[in-house]
Amino acid sequence: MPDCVLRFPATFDAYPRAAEQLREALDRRTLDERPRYRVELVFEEVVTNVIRHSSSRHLSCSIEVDIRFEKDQVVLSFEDDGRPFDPRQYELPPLPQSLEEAGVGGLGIMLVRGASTHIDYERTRENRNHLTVRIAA
Amino acid sequence: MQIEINDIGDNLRRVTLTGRLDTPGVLGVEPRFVTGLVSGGKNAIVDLSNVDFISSMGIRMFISVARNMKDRQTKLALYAPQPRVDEVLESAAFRQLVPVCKDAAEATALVQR
Repeated sequence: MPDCVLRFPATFDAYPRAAEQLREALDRRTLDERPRYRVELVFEEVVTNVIRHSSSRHLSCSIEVDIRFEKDQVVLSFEDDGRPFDPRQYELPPLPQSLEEAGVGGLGIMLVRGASTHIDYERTRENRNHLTVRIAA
Repeated sequence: MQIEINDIGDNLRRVTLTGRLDTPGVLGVEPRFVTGLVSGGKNAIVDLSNVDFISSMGIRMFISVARNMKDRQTKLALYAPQPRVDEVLESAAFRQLVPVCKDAAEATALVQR
């Protein structure tokens, strides 16, 4: 059973309120600063990525985020009905060595990987993306 | 996210950002930040001491502005990031692209070189 469930449209208009609800849920817990930051970061990066990809295809998409607080970790589960996307398969470009080399893509995924201990993905039978990210607490 | 821009002397602009550099924060502040720094024609230092949170959106904003400023032969340096913000900048290897200094004095000396 999740400790907190957030459901909202995958739009930039809906995002600020959803992020605020996440922070309210975190305020009710006594998480250390570093894991708390990582939870917020993973939420921001995953959700805004879904929003960006669904808006670029002019599709109406919704997101559900389940948050579970366990003894040594926080488990975030994201489910959306956007196009299939497994972030584990995304090949990160090499780190840029100069401003000229710095590209646009991949930074969010890189930060999610750095903030988490484990990432799982499946495309469900209902044709939804289901992503689970574990963050050490 | 709030932004304050002050000129220091003839050739330096200081920007103080307060709040969260997440997606809503960046969308709110980016136009003024870009105009203030890129069009300003001055070197710039950015105070991060009041920035509680940064995500990839905030990092991309700094990279884009730094690139534009470099094209105009002006320099950008950030300073005084909070510890968790600094960790994110580290994990993005951001310092290889834009200087992040301890304080305003170090940032000023770097951009005015």
